[in-house]
Amino acid sequence: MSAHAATAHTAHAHHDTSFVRTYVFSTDHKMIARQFLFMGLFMMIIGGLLALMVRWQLAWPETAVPGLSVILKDTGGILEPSTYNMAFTMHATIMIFFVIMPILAGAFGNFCIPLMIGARDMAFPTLNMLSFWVTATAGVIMLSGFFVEGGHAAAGWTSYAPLSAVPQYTGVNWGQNLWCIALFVMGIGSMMGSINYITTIINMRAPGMHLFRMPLVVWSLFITAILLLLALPVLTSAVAMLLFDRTLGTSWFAPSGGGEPLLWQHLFWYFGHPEVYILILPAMGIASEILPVFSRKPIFGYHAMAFSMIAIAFLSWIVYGHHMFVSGMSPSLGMAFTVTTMVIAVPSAIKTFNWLGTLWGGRIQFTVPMLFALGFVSMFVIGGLSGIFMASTPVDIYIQDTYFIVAHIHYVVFGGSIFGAFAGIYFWFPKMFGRMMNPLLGHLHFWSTFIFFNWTFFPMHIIGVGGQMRRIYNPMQYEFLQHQQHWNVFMTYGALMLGAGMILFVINFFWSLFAGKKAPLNPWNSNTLEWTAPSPPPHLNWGAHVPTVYRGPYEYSDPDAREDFLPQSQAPVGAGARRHH
Amino acid sequence: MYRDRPGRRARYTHGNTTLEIVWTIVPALILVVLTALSAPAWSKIKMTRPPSDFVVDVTAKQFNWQVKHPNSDKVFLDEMHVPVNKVIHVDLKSQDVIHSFFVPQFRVKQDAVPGRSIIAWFEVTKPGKYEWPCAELCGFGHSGMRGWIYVHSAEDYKKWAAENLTAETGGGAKK
Repeated sequence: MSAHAATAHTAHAHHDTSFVRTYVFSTDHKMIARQFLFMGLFMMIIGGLLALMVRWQLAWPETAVPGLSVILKDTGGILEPSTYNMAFTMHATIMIFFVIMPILAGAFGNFCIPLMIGARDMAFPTLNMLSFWVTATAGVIMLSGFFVEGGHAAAGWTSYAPLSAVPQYTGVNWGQNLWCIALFVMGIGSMMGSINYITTIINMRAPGMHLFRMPLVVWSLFITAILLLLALPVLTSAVAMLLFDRTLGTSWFAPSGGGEPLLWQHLFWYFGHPEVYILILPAMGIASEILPVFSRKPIFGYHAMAFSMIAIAFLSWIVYGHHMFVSGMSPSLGMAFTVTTMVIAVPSAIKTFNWLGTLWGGRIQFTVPMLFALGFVSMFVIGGLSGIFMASTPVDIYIQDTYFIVAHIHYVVFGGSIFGAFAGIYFWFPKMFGRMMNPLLGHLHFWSTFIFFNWTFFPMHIIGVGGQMRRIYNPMQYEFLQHQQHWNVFMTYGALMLGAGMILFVINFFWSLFAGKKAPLNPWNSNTLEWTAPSPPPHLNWGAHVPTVYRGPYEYSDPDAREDFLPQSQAPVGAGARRHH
Repeated sequence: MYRDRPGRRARYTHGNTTLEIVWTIVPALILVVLTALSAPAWSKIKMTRPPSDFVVDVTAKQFNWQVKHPNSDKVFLDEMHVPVNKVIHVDLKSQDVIHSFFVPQFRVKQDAVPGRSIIAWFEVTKPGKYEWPCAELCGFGHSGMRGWIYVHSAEDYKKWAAENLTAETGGGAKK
């Protein structure tokens, strides 16, 4: 090991090591991963505070939000209907495009892909750097919308036309334009990243790393990258068309000029449904990585896991119409989309059963990443099952646009994607930053998140079935909703504590970054290649030789092996001579 | 049960094809049943609607429901009157953005899309006053865009119509 490190040092000593090249305009995939992670976590704070504003208004309508009078001087901290619409619009926009995508696809995609397939970097390191900076620019543009006259976009994250297409309808002018521009720029950044991921995985795998020896998280990121490459351009085009409608007088979506409002919905959801899987697939991959390590067992049904992800990716293109059952789209199409939506539940069920199969007979270690992975599986089951209600068209007529949908989406993207993201952060932190996170704070963070997440979001199913519409400013304006207002108060208490629990994570993250225990090479006794590189891995990841791969990634507790794990790169007995080729 | 304890080794298995087949087919069958249950109901609601001579013309706008009853041109705001036990067709239009016709107690919801005219229908079996919110975000006044649907007995409806709808003929059920 030390010999390797020495060669690496001399071989790459000539590299430019200026501060700017190392920390700002770095082409090193690991630094870019950290940049995406920091960006995502920073935006999560903004998105989370917006959510708390929304929750406050729903529980105690038209009372001053504590602390908000500093910003909303005119109203003394009380949200007006237009500010409220802006808050939930931007909460979702930020969480989806600037938190989950940068963390799951951006940070874990960049960190895991080269390290886990045995590549020294991405195929196009400069493009990779550009991808981050383009995405960061998009983030700045998106945030700038908060400071323009008329406020930020307020037509929902789905921005249904013609509400979003004609400025008079919302009273928002530049906010919505900047929303379009930011998503357009973000789409370009994401395209750069996805091309890079796909090329890297196809061309740059270490010797012996067949496709079916790849860790499932790499499979998930590979499939996500393909979805990103194909789905994001649809959004990019749609927001460009919307911007043209708003500024250049085209009329794609507004019927006054011959446009078609449903065209926006078709374009948006044609992107939007694959997008849902873009958000969840990497989390599925992370869970598939962590469950075997802490069960000390091979993943159950590796091939079924890989193929079910491929099936999900294909099916994700033909289910989007289930967002539009009551939109005025032809009812026969609705019938067809019911069938495809029911079908896509099958691969998700297969994955869930295989995760349970992995736990079965294992030797489970309840570490923090494992708890979050288990949390992911259980919350994803609830989110998946509530999805089936919506797939059934007659049921969907009633629950469409109610809090039942809000519950469902939060079980999938918070209980699913964000739990997956936390699992991944706790799991790879030692490799990413070379230090261990504090397990006690981690356990507290998990339990507060798990309890208050369910506290906040489970009752949404109940008030949704009770008929509460989403995106309403004040439920007390409706007689049929008044009797369930106590749930809104209950949920807001949960949301406040959920938010407070995140402080534990922030403390743990920054404290561990600077003062955490130094991480050993392989703290979790894991098999995959990233754990053979130093913590944190240097530029180009390994010394003189990249590792050679001899087996699949999940050889835990093999009865013929001495230890309960067998790293992918450990040469079989008698094959040691092949190692240095 | 499977918590890590010293001295115990995890079960070494890569999977089981029989199990994979079982847990593919069983959920698939359940979903086939759910689809089979959903499809006829959907078809009954949306694809073949019962005929009706009672057509109410509803045009949504920011932030009101504008209602025209059969045989009358008088526009009511946020107020609809219909007889009980009769199939009611609602001819839904919008003059600005997308709204959604939602009557929770009737389990009916249909978006009103500008540039289109979409028929929604319901039949109420109990007279009363029912809340009628808009279910699709339609701007800053979305919350509170709400009407009432009054369901009368046949005689009461006749009486109400005689008193409140203009007597002139020719308006009729438009379209």
